Amino acid sequence: MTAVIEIAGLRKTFRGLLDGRKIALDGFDMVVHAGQVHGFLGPNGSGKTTTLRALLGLVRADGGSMTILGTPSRRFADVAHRVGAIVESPTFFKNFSGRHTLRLLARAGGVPLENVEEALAMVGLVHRAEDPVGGYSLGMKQRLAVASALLKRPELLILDEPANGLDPAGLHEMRRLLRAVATDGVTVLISSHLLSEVEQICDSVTIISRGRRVAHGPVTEVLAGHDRGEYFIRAGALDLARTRLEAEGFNVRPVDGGLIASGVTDPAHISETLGREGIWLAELTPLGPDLETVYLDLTATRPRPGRLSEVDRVDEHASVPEPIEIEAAP
Amino acid sequence: MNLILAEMSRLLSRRFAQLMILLLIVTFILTVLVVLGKSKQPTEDMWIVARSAAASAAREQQQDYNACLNNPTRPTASCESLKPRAVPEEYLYGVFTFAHEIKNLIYFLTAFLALFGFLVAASSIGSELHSGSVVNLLLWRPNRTAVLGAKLGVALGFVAVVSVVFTLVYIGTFYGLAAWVGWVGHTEDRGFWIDLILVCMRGITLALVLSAIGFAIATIGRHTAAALGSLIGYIIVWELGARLIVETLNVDNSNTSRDQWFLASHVIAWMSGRDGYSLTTFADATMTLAVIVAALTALAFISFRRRDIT
Repeated sequence: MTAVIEIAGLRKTFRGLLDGRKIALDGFDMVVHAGQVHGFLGPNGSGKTTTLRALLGLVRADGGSMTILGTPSRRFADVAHRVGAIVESPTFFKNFSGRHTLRLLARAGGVPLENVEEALAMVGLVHRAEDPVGGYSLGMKQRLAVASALLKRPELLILDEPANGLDPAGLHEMRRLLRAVATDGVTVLISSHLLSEVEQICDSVTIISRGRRVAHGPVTEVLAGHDRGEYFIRAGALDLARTRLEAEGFNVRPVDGGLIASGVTDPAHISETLGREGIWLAELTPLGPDLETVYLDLTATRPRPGRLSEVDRVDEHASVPEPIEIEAAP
Repeated sequence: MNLILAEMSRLLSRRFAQLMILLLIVTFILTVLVVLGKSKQPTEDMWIVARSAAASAAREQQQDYNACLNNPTRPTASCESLKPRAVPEEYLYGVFTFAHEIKNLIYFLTAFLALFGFLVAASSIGSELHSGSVVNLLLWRPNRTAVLGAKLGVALGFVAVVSVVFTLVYIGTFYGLAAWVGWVGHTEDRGFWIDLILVCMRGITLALVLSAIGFAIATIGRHTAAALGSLIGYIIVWELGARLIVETLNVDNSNTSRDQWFLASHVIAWMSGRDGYSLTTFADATMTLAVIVAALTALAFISFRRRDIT
């Protein structure tokens, strides 16, 4: 499978006169293959946007290598016409209409003006295209931003938080849109905090924390790598069931309305153990990890009771697992 | 070419630029109304009074000029501004005389055009850098030098067109007003129109110089306010504060070299078009303004090319 984006050992330190040094990227790696919808996850301040800015030539990296569509990113100008991108929430002039905004960009980029109407239709802004952008809701501005990225009919679409401000219907539309462009062969790199969205639409994922990659690979495999073999058990005589299961070597903890057994490799063993004691199962449900659980564990940002989390701060006391190295299937 | 067309469209669509044009028009209309309200065609009695007053003034000026020439401590060149110049139309009170007053009006227009250019050019890049919308443009046209060059070129072109149009309208309107409610004056004098055209060209050039400076400072400071703040700060701290201190402490006995420290002196020398109106020479003023524009523009391009766009 062809790599559309390859980043290796990317380093970037911001130096300010007043706020000193801040390491944004500390040897970050990422590979995005052609035709994928690739999720890029990480807490605020973890280096996601800096990575995208470096990739797109907006920020000068201190070290590492980056290629985009097979071209070193320092020559991004050579492939810019094949890449549609939005970085953070783009700012548009408030008194310009949505259509005028896109026409200006199309003109600057030498793109046919017909593409403007097509992009407006794709994001559902045709009927509000003549309104000033200042009157747009956050979700509409986001749609306009995505439209600006689609104007070039790109081979690679890079979207930084495209779901910001979208209502549920907008999220649904965005998911449909991204799937549609991916079906047309466009590779999509999407950075987002909406983990359920990423889980639904992405083929593969890279998770970044403190400027370094902590997990990457196909979504299913990243999730499988964090599968603790947990099952929810609902049955009569829960105390007895717990005792018997523990005697069989299961790690069991009580929860509301049942038990959770972890480290289970064969669920039939649970059924068999309880059946021998005349305890009949009412429910035996596998508790596979979702992306949110994996993300919170890997980035050490899981909220802790009685403590308020800080932006750009990870839990120093939490144990951060070793990076998971799962390569995408060829 | 596409980039330049897009930038032109963007600049013309900007509310700030439109507002500044409106401000220029309002100022122009107010000036016209003031002239219309105060001026009347001269009567024969007014001419008699004016000729008498001019003759009296010319005698006094001649005495001052002679005294200057006879003063061994003053260089002869510095007496140039004291040469007798009194003419009757100066003493036609309540009469707008085109030939006599148009230059002062052009100086007034130049000041407005310079401020207009400074603000519009600074805003054309400053607001985009501050808001982050330049990121969007760079994703489409990643060549930073071309993007900044297009923005600077379009801003200067816009200021040049506005300046030329306003100058022509200004001269045409006041010529018509003078013919209607005042006196045109000796416009047939040899060199009058050439002199006026040169003043206008220097005024338009000054507006472009200030535009380039505003653009460069806004680029370096990443904000329109950086340019405006620098301008206000410079005027208060240096042109007013430092000049006062230098003159009070008499830091340097040579007025010529002291004057060269201040940009306002160079601007006056530049606009006068000849030596003698300011203690700075026209050649010095030209060189100083050119060096400042070149240095700031180069710094702006280097800064824009190298910096992280965040």
